[in-house]
Amino acid sequence: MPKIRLDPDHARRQLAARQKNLHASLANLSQLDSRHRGAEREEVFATDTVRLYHYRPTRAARTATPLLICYALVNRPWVLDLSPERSLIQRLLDEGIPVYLIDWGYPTRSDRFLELEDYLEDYLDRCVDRVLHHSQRERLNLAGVCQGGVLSLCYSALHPDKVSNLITLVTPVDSAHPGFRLGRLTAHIDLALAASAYGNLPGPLLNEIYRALEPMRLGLQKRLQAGNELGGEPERALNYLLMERWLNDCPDLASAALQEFVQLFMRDNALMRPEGFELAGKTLRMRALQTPLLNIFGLKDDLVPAETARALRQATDSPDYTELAIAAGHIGTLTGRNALNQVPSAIAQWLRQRDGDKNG
Amino acid sequence: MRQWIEQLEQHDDSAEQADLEPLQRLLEANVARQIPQEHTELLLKLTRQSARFNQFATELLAHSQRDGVDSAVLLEQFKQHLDQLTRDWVLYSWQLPEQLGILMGLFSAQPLPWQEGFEQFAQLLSTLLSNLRPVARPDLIAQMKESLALLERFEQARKHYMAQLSRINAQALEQMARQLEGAAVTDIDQLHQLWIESYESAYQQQISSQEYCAALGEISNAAMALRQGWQRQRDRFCGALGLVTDTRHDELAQRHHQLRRRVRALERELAELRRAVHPKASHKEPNAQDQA
Repeated sequence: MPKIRLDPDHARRQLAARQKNLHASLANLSQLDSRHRGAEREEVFATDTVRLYHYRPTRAARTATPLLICYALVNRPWVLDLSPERSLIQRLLDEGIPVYLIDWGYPTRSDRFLELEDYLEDYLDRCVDRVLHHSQRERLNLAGVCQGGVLSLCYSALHPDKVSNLITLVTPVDSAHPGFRLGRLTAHIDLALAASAYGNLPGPLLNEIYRALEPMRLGLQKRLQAGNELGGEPERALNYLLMERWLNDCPDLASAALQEFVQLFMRDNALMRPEGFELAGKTLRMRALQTPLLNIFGLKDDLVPAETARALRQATDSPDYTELAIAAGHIGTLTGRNALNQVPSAIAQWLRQRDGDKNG
Repeated sequence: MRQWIEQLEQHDDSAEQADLEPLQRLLEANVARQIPQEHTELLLKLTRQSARFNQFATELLAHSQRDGVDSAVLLEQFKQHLDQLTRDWVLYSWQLPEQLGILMGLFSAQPLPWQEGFEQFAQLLSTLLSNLRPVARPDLIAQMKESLALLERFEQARKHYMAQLSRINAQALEQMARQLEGAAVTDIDQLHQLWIESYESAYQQQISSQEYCAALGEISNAAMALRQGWQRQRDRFCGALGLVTDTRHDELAQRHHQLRRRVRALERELAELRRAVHPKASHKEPNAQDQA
């Protein structure tokens, strides 16, 4: 077997640099106030665990129609407003877009019987009505993030009269695509058994499944590189800490809705079926969707690979379909520096073109 | 902060401990400051990981300076490390139901590796079942048999899944050996990166196989079946004591949701009737229950 000969001086410098980073991390961690400070907002509706928030634009509204963001049931929506520097919501407000955000909250054991229909036709629909009432508009623009994108597609198919324009962000559409590893990995897990064993599916368990997609990179390597982030500029360290907190802030998932979601959209690949699928007492066909669509996805997304998201073009017959591919991963597409320089302005421009520019 | 220091002190790896001392001194100097729990937990993880890496790198460096590091020795070290990581990962990800885990701990006279402890525990339950069979109520015997069968299924699934992970480890090491033959590695970070990439490449290949996905599904399902079985036992105990069981609680929650759906349907009907009476009213009017 070959011998490995390390350059001793270089190796010592590498180790010393690691140690230095770790010490700097300690200094940062003992001084930083890492409380989450989101943009100013007002709660305009609350029911059960669900909350609806309104964010006022920081400049004169240039888009008259409000934008309702429907986040996933998985993880928490505050990643969209992580810090003043890393905030998709803040950037949208700076573009003059009135924003509303749905926070699904933390389902309790009693919520295990919530079905997709409940989320769509009860919670989401009531939030939509509340936004329309609050903004005094007849229709709104809807943006769905990841699983929230799937919910938004379904909602737009159920209520095309209420949605002017639809934006999907990092949304899985074609689950049969070979790159969609999450679907394959979980294919044999008995979700009915999970429901009876746990009630709701525990959020930390779901986190484990995500980490299992790349265990060494997301575990060991990430920890070893953390010193570079935590030991650097305070702003960088703060964003790392907030991101870590967000990653561990994972609500349990209402098991009935989860079972339906996995069966329909992961195992049956329902969004891609030309004949449609049954949901909320109706047959929903993505082909029938005529709403203008802006589909945003990450080219380096390991969770929802670009091709899985890009399939929306084939799934729908929307005469007005636009794509925006970002050179980022799943979360980077929502919070990364480069993404934040592109995504909010692209959304604003796309909406203004379809909505009428209020202030020219 | 204090808890963090205590955890460090409890950690018994002396070589690692030496690396942690400077940090420990720093922490003690900062002990008066209030650092959030999550920060201390993160620091603990980072420091341990970093200390292990430093220890490994220092040993490697010492070997390298003497007569170079034999790749075979290095790969054996990686193998041991990977095996340990694999065991920890499986133990952490598919845990026994809490009460069962505690019970298993109580029955072990001394701390044993998980595998031995588990086998000893299963053996004890089996003996208990044989001894009780002539005297205990048939339903109690049936419950015990069910629990034992679930434990055995879990253990089988665990072994099967561990075998899959071992295969990944072996493939990762083979891949790394090939890489080492082709490239002159002189850099610690480069070496580490090579290891990560070799592992991820072997892992991604294996998890795309049907066999791996089936093994992952079975260990998950077996762990959940065990939890479900244990829950059934707990329900029986609670029922016997006249307490509300999880099952009963779930039935009530289900009825609550049925009623909520009925209210929602009635609200929609009411809204439609209103619109029929007042055609100018639009859907932006919120539901009656949302107006408060």
